[in-house]
Amino acid sequence: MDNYEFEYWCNVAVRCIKYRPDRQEVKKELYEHLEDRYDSYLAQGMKPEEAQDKAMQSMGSPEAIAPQLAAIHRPFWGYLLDVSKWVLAGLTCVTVIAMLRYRSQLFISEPMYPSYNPYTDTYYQEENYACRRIMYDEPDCTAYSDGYTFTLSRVAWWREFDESEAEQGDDDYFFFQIEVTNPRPWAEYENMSRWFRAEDSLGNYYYNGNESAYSYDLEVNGNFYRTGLFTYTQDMWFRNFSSQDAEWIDLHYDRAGRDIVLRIGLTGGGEK
Amino acid sequence: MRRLKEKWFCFWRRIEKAWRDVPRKVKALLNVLAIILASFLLYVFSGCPAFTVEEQYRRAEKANLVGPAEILGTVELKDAYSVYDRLLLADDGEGVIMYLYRADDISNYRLVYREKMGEVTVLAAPSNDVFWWGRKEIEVPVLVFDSCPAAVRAELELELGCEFNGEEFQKTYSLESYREKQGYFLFSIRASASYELGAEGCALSTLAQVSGHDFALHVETAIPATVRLYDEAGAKVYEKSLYIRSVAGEAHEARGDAE
Repeated sequence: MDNYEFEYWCNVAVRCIKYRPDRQEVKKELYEHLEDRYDSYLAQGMKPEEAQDKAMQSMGSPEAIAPQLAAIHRPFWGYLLDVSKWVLAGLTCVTVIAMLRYRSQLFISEPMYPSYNPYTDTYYQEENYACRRIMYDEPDCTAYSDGYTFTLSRVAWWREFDESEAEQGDDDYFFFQIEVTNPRPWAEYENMSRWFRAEDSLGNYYYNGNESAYSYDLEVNGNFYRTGLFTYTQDMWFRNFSSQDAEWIDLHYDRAGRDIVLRIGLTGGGEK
Repeated sequence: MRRLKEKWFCFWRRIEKAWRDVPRKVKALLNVLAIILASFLLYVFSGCPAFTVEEQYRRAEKANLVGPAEILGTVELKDAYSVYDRLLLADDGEGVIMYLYRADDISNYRLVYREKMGEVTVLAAPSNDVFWWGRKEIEVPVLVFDSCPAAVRAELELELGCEFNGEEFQKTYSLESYREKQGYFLFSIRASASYELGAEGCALSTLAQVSGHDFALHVETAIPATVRLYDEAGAKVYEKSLYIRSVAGEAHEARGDAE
């Protein structure tokens, strides 16, 4: 912009436009219009100074145009775009940091089994004893409470053998898994596996993990870990398993007015 | 590789051109939408923190599969050894909830649900930290939950006993409290020693542990307590003697399996 008269005219015309990028753009456009008219007047044979005055006169009074231009170029969307750009950039950085810091929310924990995986292995041997899986089932039994879905997903019954491979029926281990899901990402879950008690079809009563006190108590116990954004898995077992002849075991959560019941059938499962 | 690079630049230029042609209003709205999405992701990846104590408490209720309960009040815990400095009390009709938390970090909490013992329920604040070893002072808040709105004053007698390092301790505490909030009376037992707390510390610690639910060791412990409630005129409106037992103790007692 080397014509100071035109530039002054443009500055006056755009002074009411609040959003700076718009002001620059409109100024440039007006300047181009003035130059076009100036060129055409020159082509008509006018002198340069005369053509300049005529071009500015033909565009009107800049003081009169200014409020009209300001009304057309309102600053709201421009400011919103600028602010949102920076906010979005900052928020993206913070989100990435949060994702790295709290990645435990995202990544799945691995279950910790002592020597063998009761659900995928079928046989396990150590120096003095061996264990064999005698039943495996996927009952898919479901119960609901407080927005949580409890699904009895897998059960496995293991029996210990001595060196001569003779069965020892009283050294049985019974494992089962309860998947707990809640679609709300803010829903927390505590280790409720310590509050499930059980009763079998023969009347044997298994205390829950918080109630069991003596080594001879029949007990339901377990651990829990996060297995997804919305899923927890309760890895559970019966201590002093005594339901070899029972048809079923009912797992109960009946605290604080709840009545969650999950039934484990002991007669199916194929491998027995 | 070069062709791939060219294709990529060509694609990027087209995107840039297309973005330039998008009206400013649409761009701003798209940015706002992206901000909302990023905020939600940030909230989720930050572990969905609760913004108020009550919100965190309600979540804890759901996570522990108890409640919803009516919040009765909050007690400030003054034990310097404790992880928690506040105790929120709630009542769901069938049981009482003692919710320990830190005022400066509300995500740090412990919730204990105990079934009611009848018209009155006597429990101590179930702080995990009420161990007495090496401590010179201990203070255990004791709560009497009641459903007697006419009562304005309560008397509590607690018989505590413990043996520690050959030291026998047996004491009946007679405590008095005036109603501050409906639903419960708050008492406090304090013990101190010039060098180190002994059997008395053990007895108070046992009371706190029995009131929680993590100490199945206390299956045989039954702490005798007597509660008397008085109305404004000073007349006795309620009296009951009961035993404070652990969760394990109550379960074994109910099934007749106690040793």
